Amino acid sequence: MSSEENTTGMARTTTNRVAWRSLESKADPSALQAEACGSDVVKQHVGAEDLFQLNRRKFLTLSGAIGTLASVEGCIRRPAENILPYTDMPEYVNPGVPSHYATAVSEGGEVLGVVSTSHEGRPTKLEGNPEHPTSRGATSMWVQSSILDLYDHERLRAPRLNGAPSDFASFDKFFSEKIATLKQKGGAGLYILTQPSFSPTYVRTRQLVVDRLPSSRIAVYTPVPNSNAREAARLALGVPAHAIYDYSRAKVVLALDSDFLGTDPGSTLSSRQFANAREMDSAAGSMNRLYSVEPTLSMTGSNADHRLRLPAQDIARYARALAAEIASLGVELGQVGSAAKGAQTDNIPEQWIKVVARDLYKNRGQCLIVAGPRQPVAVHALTYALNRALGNSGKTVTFTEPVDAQEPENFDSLKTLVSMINAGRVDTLVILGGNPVYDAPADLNFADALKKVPTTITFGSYSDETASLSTWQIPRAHELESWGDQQSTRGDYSVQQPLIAPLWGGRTDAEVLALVAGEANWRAYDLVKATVETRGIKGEVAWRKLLHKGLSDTRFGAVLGSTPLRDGEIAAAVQRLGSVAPLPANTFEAVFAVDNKLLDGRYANNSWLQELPDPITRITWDNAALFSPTTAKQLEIKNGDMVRIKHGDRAIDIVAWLQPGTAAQSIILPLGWGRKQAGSVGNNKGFNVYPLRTLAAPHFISGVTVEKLGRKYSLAQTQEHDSMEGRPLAIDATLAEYKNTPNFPEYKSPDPHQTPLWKMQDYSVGEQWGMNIDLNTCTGCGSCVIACQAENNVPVVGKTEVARGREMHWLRIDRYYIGDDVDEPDVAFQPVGCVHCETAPCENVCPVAATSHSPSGLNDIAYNRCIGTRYCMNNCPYKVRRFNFLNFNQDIPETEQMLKNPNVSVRFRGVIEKCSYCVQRIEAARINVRRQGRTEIRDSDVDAACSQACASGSITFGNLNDPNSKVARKRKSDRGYALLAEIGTRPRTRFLGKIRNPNPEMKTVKS
Amino acid sequence: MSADAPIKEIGETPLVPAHVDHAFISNEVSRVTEQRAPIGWWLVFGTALLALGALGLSVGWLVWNGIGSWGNNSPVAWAWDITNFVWWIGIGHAGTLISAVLFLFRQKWRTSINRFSEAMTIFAVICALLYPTIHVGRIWLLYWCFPIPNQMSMWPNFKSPLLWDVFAVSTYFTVSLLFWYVGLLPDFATLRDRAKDVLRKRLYGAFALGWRGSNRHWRNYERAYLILAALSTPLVLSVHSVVSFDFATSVMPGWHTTIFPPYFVAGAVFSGFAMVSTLMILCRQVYGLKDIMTMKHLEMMNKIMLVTGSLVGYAYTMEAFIAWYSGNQYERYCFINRMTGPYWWAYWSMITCNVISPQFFWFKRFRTSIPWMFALSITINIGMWFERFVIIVTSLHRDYLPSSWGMFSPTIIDIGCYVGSIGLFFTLFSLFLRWIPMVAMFEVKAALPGAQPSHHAAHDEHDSHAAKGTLAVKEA
Amino acid sequence: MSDVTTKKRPVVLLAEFETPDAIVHAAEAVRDAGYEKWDVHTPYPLHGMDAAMGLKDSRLGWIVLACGLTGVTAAITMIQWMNGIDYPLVIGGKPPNAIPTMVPIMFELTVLLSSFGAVFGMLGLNELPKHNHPVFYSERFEAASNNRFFISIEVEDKKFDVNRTKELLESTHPSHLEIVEEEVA
Repeated sequence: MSSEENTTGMARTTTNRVAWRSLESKADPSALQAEACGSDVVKQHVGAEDLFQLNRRKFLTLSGAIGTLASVEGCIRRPAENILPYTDMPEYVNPGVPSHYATAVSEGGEVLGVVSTSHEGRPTKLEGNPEHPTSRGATSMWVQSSILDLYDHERLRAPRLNGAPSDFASFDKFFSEKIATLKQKGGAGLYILTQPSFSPTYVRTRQLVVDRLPSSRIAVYTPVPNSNAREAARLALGVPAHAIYDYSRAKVVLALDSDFLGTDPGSTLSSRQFANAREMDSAAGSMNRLYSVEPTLSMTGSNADHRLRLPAQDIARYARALAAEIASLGVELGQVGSAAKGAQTDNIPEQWIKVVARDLYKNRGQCLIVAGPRQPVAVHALTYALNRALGNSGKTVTFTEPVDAQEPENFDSLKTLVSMINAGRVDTLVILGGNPVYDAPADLNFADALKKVPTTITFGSYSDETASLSTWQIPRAHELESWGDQQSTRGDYSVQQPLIAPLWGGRTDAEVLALVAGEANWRAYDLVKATVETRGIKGEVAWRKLLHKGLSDTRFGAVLGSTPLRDGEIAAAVQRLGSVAPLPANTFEAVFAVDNKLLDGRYANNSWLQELPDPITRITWDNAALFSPTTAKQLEIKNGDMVRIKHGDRAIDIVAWLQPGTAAQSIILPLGWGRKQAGSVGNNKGFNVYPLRTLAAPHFISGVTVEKLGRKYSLAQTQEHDSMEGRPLAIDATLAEYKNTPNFPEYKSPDPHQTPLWKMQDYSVGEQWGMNIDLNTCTGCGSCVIACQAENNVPVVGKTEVARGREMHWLRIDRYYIGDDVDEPDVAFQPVGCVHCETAPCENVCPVAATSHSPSGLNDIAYNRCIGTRYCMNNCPYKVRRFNFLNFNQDIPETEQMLKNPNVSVRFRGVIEKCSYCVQRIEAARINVRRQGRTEIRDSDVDAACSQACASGSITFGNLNDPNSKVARKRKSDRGYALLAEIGTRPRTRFLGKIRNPNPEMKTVKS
Repeated sequence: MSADAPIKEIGETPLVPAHVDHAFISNEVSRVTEQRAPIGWWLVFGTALLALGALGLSVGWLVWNGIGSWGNNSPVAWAWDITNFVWWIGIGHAGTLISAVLFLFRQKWRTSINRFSEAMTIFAVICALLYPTIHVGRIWLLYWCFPIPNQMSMWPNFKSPLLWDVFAVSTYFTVSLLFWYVGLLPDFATLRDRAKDVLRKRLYGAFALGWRGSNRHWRNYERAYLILAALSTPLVLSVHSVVSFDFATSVMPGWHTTIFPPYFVAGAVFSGFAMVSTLMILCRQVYGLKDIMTMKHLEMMNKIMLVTGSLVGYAYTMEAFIAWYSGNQYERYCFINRMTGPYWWAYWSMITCNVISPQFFWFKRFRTSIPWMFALSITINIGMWFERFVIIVTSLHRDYLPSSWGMFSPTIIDIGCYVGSIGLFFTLFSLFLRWIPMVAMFEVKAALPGAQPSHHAAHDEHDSHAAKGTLAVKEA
Repeated sequence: MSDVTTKKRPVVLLAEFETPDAIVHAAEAVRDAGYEKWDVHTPYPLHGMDAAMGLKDSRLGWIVLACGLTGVTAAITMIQWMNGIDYPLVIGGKPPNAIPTMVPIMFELTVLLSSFGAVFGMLGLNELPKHNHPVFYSERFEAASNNRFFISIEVEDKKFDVNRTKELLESTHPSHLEIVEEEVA
């Protein structure tokens, strides 16, 4: 279409959209209701037909995601009983041909640009948006599994009044009246509790509320905020700011209790940047070095070249000592330097101050010091000062202006809210998302407070701990099914498109705020449209471009490069920090850790994440209090012992787990578990540690006591053996060793290359698929596992079956500990899926030839042919074949059936399954290529789900016979080796040896 | 056929007492099928039926819910199912060995026990066949293992040892059955002729196929028997070799072993003889056939157990040695793990039962004591079950990648299927005892003193031997 | 034998003996007398009886050989055609028609068909099953499967003559001698 037609077309879109909606209102007296339960109405109507009949010509001119999606999914989501074929085929929907839409998702403290794949109007998979700076085509495990949340059949389906089913009509009636009455008092007594957000529309509408109801109050709360970094930035710069790091330009990185490769905001991008600086094309190249100082073995720590186990409370001291040392090297730190002096340094090895300081100093301008959200404001401020002093500003560190300037991202506003409630000054409380009853600091007793409020209205996805205590429970729209917008910390502005009409109706935060503010056009679509206009993106062309590309051409949020740091403030803060004395013997500190999978608990009802083994502990379906083996011995605690952890009059019971790499005297308590009203998946999984968490010490408490309860609790692990038994599996070497013997992996795992007794198959022609996995950049995060699960309809089996060893993941990540010291092991991660052996042992033994080799070197399975002797499973040296021991796909809820990838069959019990190299994608690519009249498939045409999701680009997949393919180029690397090469299986998946980059000056010492 | 003049057992003492003549044999053996069953029989049969019921329930549950009802998992994808399969197949071997191999070697003492050891073979193989059948995930598609034209126009994969199994075991079953039935013909005739009531006459008559002891028939009959024996001998050796291929041709440490075929065959004979003597001892007690199944027989069996037991012991030592000698760390670990790993108890009970316990048979005292040999024969059967468990489970549960190591623990369904198969076996066996002559009457008769014409001209002898195709060592 | 004229007619002359030696000598006598349609019935195979009756070697072996050869060819052709020609698949990187993998099944099928040949060949040569035979008319014949030995000479035999044949048998001192008769339809 020419742009002119576009504009007219789109002009119609909006108007027509309204017209269409009003059609509903014709059919139904209450327009509002029609709006409210939009999805149900769409269900009742036979899709788009009667619209077409009304004015087909007009409708057919429609274009863009909105109309199409609404109508399409209307047709799709009719109940099966009276399903009908398309009498009028909607445009832009070819059954069997998926369509893609760009959108964005917010993910704890960062925004990720994504592209969704929709089959006949049902989104089935999210991939990173290659255009989007924060994802660059990659995704995290949370983004991958958010699609499962969208289809969760246990989401709140309709409004509830005091727990009893109600409907939107009556709620809207009630709500409008309520607002009206509040308006008269200028909003006095109205409190709104929201979550921090990166949505400009949210900020705008919130401002509307503030302006129009001046006496109303808005509290912002999230259980695990990144507030200390924000506060520090405000303190250091005098203006609110985000600290932005560029790991790709840092030769030396010092992580102070920071998990930038794991649970910290923006880990997807961080991982990619970190990998860029770590990637080694040849022994000649150079790579970065990572120092990590932390109480718990985090994703970051497990990938560090040097790691110091230090209780969380001592890290501030370490930072000060380091600052002082750096200052003494002649770096200009001003007041901060002097303020840093005199930190007590016992229990901190001297070299960790001297050598690390020297290493950072040597790499001025290309090093980076980053502190974790757990650490106090002063530590963050200190790192800003150090980074600037080391000349990293504008290189590895920059500051940007946040989308929400006045966001007081900590517990203060919640605290005020509770005190107001207790003072009886809150008449109406509107909660937009979040689950404070479950995760608010224990000493606030939020549940009790909530009960005192006359009217509480909770907009939430589930009838969870908080919602069930409130007067009204209203479905909150999932961000994949509603209009919205997001702005990343770097200022990339994206509009969120609804990939499907809200499954259970539901409102977005912005909509609610707009309603409160009394906006006429309170529909999310109109609100976003308005915001976009205010941001200077005017006209349909620009709008459609924005939707199409998934982010704005221009960045918002200025870069605060020039703003000077306020040394005085920082110094003062560092002074206030004082010098905490080391924990006396036999006293312990409890460290609250964001869970590696469930984060703060928001993903508790997500079975994919529940079953994904924790990247470090390999525990599924549970959390556990992590002890260092020595501490455990001292306390006579064994794996699986139930312990009571006490602080003052607060106590929690939790199962204990011995975790190598945990700081002595630190007890790690992962948050987000032990939910009581998360849903059938999340309920009563793991142990809730929030009751130990108070306003005073939300991150770590010193002086907790541990008491054995004498009970046992069984945990289900996917990997029970941590050692490689000296076998050449996940092969690693130091940089020095690599430079001496560049082919060290092949040297350690020699390939016999024996001449076969028969004529081998000829794989020199056509597409020959292969994969390389670079262990050097793999952080072991596990997003590839979830991506594979989403792509290939891999079932979830539950805790008992996992405990029996029947997990179904096609791709697993093996985690090995290296070294003799149980407390300070080196960690190696190794993703293992089917390696597609050219001489596959599994094929020989199948009596019915259900598994055999394709001409392009794939080890195929015909599920329909498999009779389930499991002989192939026995004979697979890599143990990647999975067997449907039971019917793991029984009674899938209707909504979750919509999630299944139609191109991958759902396996019945009694058959074997395993990684297929995403053969469905290969075949789809083959078809596309043919249609484009090309002959060979290029990298740009096909990618496996795992390699596509991998943020650090460790997995490369493609055609080995195509010299230009990534995989073919990676194949040339001297670090390449075949796992268990000596068996002579000739696997198509090869690994690249891991390189560690220890500082020669560092002597390995016990901490 | 033992068509030779008076039995000279190793040593000059006759195998059966003097008062035993042709009629005595007919009566002694036939009466079992003609009189009411003794209480002992009812006890065995009753318990067996109960166990059989358990089998029905367990298999029903298994097929309805899936293999997950067993304890099998990844990495232990085969566990009790295949353990039991190999165990039963092994037990089966003794029967064929006694009836075929000992026949070729002219071991006349076999005559009084070959009948029911053959029966044991058939029932054991039936039990064995149960497991490959039910252990597949989709039992209703099992027929895809056979080269039957189907809608997929696909054929089985003849490279798979499992398919070799299908052919080997089914062939073995068929041939054993034929062999058994051929041996039964003349005895069915005897029962027919003794039968008083019409029904018995009709029934046994039908099975006897109108056998009338014609010498023109005996001529072909003996040739057929000889050929079957000659065919069964390599067959019985091949069957357990093929079963061992399931493991030997794989790449798993602890499985990938060239010693397996002979090792498996020795083990099979070993366990088979143990089972035979268990049953013999029971039968003699229940039916008082002490004159037909004499202590001599039992002692002979015990000697064979001693030999095969020691062979098996040698195999154990050898595979461990080779694992060490190969220098292959996976093989080495596999055996260290068997001996010291979490399943050490299985390995050591295997050694105790299979290698140490038969050593008692060096002493005549134990060889000739009923309680001892009974206890030991049971012990050996337990040990042989453990051998298969060790080979299958302890090899699988810790293979190449430590990340995938795991443990196996059986469920109630596992136990039900195992105990149930024993029930199936004894049900069939007690029915056999009740309705079919448990001793090959005509063979025993032929082997009695004075059963054969005493003196002829040498040329006759020559012809007759040629005619019988016997390898007989004639007495002067 | 006086009532030869009645509705019954003799079919078989049946002589009963008690010892193996006796029957062997009797058989030799009958053999030398040149009878053809006659037989010896024993509860178990008597050693030397074939010679005593002047019987030739059994032809069963050839039948079995034929069946065995059929078995091995069937195996080869079946596997080659199914895996090599009709539906070739790349299994473990091996040639679809690999010979070594066929050996076990070749062997099994050979044995299977051979033993069929042995059993059914034997029954065929013996013309079994055959439930009606004149000797069964004799009451005493039941002992043939127990502890007695019989010689039966059929009336059909060319040389058969009631008196002379009777004499011949009597000369071998049977423990009992009878003419088995059957009803004339």
